[in-house]
Amino acid sequence: MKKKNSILGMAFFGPALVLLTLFLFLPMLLTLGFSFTDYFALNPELTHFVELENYINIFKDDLFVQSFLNTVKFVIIIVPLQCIGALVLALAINKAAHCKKYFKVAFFVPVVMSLAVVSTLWMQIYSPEGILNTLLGNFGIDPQPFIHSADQALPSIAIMSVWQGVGYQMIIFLGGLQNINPALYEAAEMDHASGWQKFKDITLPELKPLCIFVFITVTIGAFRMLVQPMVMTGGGPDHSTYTLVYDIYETGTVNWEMGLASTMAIVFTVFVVILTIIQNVLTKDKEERKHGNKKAKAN
Amino acid sequence: MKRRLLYLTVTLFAAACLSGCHQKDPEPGDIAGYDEGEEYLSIWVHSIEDTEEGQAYKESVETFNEAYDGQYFADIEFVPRNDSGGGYSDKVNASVMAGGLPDVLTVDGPNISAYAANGIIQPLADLTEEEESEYLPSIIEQGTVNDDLYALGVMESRVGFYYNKDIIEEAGIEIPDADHPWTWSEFLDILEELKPIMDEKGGYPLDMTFPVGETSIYYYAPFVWSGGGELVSDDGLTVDGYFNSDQTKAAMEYFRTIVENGYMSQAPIDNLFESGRAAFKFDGAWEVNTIYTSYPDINLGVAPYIVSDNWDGETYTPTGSWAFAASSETKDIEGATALSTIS
Repeated sequence: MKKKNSILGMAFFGPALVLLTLFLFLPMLLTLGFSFTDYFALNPELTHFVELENYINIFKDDLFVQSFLNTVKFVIIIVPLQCIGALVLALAINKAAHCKKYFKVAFFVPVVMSLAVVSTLWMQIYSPEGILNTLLGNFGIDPQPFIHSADQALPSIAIMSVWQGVGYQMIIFLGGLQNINPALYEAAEMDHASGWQKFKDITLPELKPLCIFVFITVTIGAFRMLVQPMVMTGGGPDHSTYTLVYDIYETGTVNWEMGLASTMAIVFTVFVVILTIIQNVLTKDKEERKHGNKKAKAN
Repeated sequence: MKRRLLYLTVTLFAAACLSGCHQKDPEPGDIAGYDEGEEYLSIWVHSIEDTEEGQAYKESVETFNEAYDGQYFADIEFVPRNDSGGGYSDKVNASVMAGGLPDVLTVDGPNISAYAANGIIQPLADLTEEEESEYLPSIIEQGTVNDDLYALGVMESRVGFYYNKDIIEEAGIEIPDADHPWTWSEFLDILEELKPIMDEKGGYPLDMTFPVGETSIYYYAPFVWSGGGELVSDDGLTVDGYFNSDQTKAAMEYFRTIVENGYMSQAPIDNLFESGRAAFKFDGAWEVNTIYTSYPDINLGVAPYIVSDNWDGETYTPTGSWAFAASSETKDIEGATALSTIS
């Protein structure tokens, strides 16, 4: 019986595994291979094995370093805003007495809009005669260049990105909030706990796994920022919104330097994996420490 | 019995997936018009069928098939470009690596040398004097690499210095003729004159945007050139000493002066000229069509392009556009050349 089931399982899983290998795992291996060559996509016959030359050269490239720093700046702005924003929105909607469904949908709609559509929309909103500048004008503030200024472009795109993505994490948090046992809150009421204490000692610990999940996925997503700068500013002004993935795309597809682009992709992947591991370790540590203390107290 | 049915379904599904990967040239009779004895030529164009450009390509290919009925059959494939230029170039890149380039494909002017140098396109068969004379010299120059003709332009393009006739008349400004274009200093004075009028209209004297990508170089290179500056060396390999020469710097500083004096907005405003709130605009030849079809209220005029104060009297203009080229995979260069000369 078990064997029959396992064969059945393989039959369903097989095609998906084949496609996954062909279009995901194999290209990953190929990229690793290409990263040690000077593969020029316009003329593949000229390829030579250059070993670690690419790896050394990309760090000497000002543009790669800048794209790396830009990406980190994006992450630093987006991750706290989106995680905390999603939590705040979820708490607010959870408490709301009326129109819960309306708010859920309203905040989620941006998530399902395509990145390119949202970017084009916000180009209009941010334009010198767009909605935002008109609003600011009512408060007597001069029209801001937003995405046309090297200083304001990155934060502008980051905030727009948070606006679009926050609905998704909000839904996740809402689900988590609704799963918290109300008995815990009732017990806290009896102990005359304040709202803040309830949040700190019940809500947050119960949501801990979700918080970690949201934190890690938002970080990884923010590192992959590509479409918004590409559509809105083309990486400018003055390369201020030029991100890592954008650099990989330009180097590999536009400049045909696939070898160099593969190297960048490998470095990018390794970096994100290491970051994810660090995040995991940091957040798990606190949990184990807390549990350790609780056990000690119980004893 | 159920299990056997399952295995059959899975196998069929896998087979269907794999069969999709296999590409085959169509046989005579597969496509309407493709008769026995005709040679199959494939041509890729970079637009969709629904646009006027796409329709033009389709008609040209149909004319070719009529003219060469019995000898050649050209099959056109429409591959759309997306905004950042991908789509079409992605398909060409993929075909370079995996094979499957068509007999003829359209190549954008700037890419002709790169494609030629890397063996993606091959030199066309020799044209007769008469055939070659049908093309503008700039098209022949664009398609020639190392004295071999690789590509024949489908069309030519240029940049226009447009003005709003009503506003200019209101300001009492006279547009110069082609032999005496305004110099940079003269133009600054004109802009200064227009500024109070345009402030009242809530606009700017000049609608000059610097779009992301190749467009800025295309529109404004003549500023650099007419001042005696260069963007790159003749062989295209050196920028130091060319792009940062004093003359090129002067052109950049000129742009900055225009912005600092408030003659143009710092950030681009959509449709400033088209909504009648700018007196001048630099744009491609397509702007004429845009105005005629979408903004018929604007009274459009074209003025000679601004030249630097040290102008040497020569013509400097951006040109270049898409061209037909024969790929290196084509087996019949004569046929491909014939197909490339369609217009």
